[in-house]
Amino acid sequence: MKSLTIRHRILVSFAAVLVVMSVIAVIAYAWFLQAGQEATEVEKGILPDLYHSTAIMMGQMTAHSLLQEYALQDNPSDRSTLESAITTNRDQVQRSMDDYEATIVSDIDKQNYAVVKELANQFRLAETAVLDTSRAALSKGETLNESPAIKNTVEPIFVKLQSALQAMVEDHRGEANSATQQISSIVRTAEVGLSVGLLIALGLALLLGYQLFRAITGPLTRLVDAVQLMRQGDFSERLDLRRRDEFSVLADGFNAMADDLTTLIGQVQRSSIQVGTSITEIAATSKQQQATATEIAATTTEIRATAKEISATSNELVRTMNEVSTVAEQTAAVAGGGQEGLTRMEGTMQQVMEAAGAINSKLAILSEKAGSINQVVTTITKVADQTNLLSLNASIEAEKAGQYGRGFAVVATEIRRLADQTAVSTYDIEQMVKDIQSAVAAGVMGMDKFSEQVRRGMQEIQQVGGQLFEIIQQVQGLVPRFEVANEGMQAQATGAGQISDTLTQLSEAAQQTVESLQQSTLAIDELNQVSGGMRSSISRFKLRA
Amino acid sequence: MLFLAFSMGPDRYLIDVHQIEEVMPYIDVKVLPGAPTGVVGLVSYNGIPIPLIDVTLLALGRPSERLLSTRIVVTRYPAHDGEQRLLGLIAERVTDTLERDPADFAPFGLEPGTPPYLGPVASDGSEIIQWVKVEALLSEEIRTALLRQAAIGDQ
Repeated sequence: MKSLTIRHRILVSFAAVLVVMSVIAVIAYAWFLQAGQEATEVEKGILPDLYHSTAIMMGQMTAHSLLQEYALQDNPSDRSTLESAITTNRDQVQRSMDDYEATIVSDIDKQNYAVVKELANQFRLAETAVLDTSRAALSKGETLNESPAIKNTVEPIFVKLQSALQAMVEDHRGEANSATQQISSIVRTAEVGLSVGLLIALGLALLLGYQLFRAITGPLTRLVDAVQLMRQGDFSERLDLRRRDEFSVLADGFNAMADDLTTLIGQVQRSSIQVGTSITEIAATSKQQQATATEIAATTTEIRATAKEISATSNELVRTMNEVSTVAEQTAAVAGGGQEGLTRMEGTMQQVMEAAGAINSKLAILSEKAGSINQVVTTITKVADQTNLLSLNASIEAEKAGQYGRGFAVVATEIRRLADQTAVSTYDIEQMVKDIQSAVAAGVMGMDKFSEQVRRGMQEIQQVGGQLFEIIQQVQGLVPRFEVANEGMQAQATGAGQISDTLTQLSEAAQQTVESLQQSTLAIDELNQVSGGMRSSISRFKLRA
Repeated sequence: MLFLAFSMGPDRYLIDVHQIEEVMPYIDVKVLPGAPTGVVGLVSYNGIPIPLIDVTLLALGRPSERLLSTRIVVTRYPAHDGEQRLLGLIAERVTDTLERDPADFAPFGLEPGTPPYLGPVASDGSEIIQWVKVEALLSEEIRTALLRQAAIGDQ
């Protein structure tokens, strides 16, 4: 039995019970079939007859009572109402009778019905007579008391009809009774049989059920115990059922699960330790970050101060640059004026040089003239010389001539004097001309020197002019550079302002960072707690070593 | 007595006009290289070449300046053979004659080293003028050279 699997056990148990139940069912079915037949008989045959006959009886009774009531009525309107009611009832009775007639099967029934039918007709006729009489009276305007008439005519018929109907009804009732008795007997037999069968089935079921129960609950209890153990944290136990059914499979599965869980929990234990370590590290780092964030906040405040200073300095520089720019422009203007002056001076120098050139040419002319004079003077000198010579020789000859030459000597002397005068004059002229020439030469030299100086002066002026021009250019070149520098300064000032703003933002951000780090520290503390909780909750697990 | 005045350096000197033939301008001098000191060369007087002595050169050691007043005085000197020979003298500032009485001249004390041609002196205003004897101008050497020259010239 141990080797039977639970499935087989269940199947066997249920199969046995089912077989027993089936047998019982079959037998019961046979009995119930029989009972059913009887019931059908009652339903289809007997009961409708009973019903119809009773309905007819009831109808007749109603007709009778209606008629009597009709007779009691005085009011025409009431009577007419009742008349219509009687008519309706009559139709109803007729219908019932027709229905009944359709269901007649047995001979007894036929006999009974014939009697009833006849009597009913009779009744109807009497009823109709009464009604007609009444109607006739009404049309004349009288109300008749029909009660006596009814009592005489209708009543006896009614009594007979009633008894016939009663007999019919009784017959039917008898049939019904027998049928129902039969059904009851069948039912009783069925009760007994079913009880017996039920008991058998019950016993079998109990037996097999107990077996099954044992087969299931044993290992199940062990399983539950093991699971309970595991719930408490003891992962060291494994199941060994020594069976070869589904529970062994379950036990194997449980063992495998226990192994896996052991491994998992071991990992979780290790992980929780690591988490704890990591959290500690994170906490330390978070503290560092907090410190750093505070430092950053402080540093940004310092930088902001510095940026403000830079901004102020830049503004000052801008102003200074503006002043310098103005000065440069003024310098350029002055240099421009100086350059103009130099240009004028150059022009003047040029004029001077031209004048000097003119003077030089005049001096050259003068020199030339002096040269001419010189030539003339030379000629005169030569003449004077010759005259002098002549006079000397004349004097000598005159002397040598003695007495005869005396007059001639005087002439000679006079001539000599003239010549001497001329010579003196020419000497004077020569001197003057020399002076003029030397003066002219000096003048020319001086003019040359002067020209040279003027030229040098002009060169220097040009140089200076060039230098001034360079100065002007450089100064003018400075102006856009100043503007650039100015723009740069302004940009710097703006930039410093922006830096200041950005630093404010940075300071706020640093502040936020500090706050968030504080929150982070709180979160880490929480995490630490959680980790500690997790570790403590895991530590209670006992693992197989 | 009429004298021709000339200068040697800063001083004035006189030559008796009777010793003078003519005064000529200082031109057309033919230089004689290798001649004794003082003898400049030859000059043509009326077609005759006569020797030329630069008195300034002789006396002061420098040649006469080439001025218009520097003239050639053609003089006559008695040669050793008694003949009157012509001699040209280049002198400076030959422009004037001077009328003087020979008695005005005082003898000039001969000192050793003084040239022989310097004769008696006289005063002319503030300055002293000295009589120059032409024949004394010639040294033996020059005379010999002139003689030789004359000899050649005669031939």
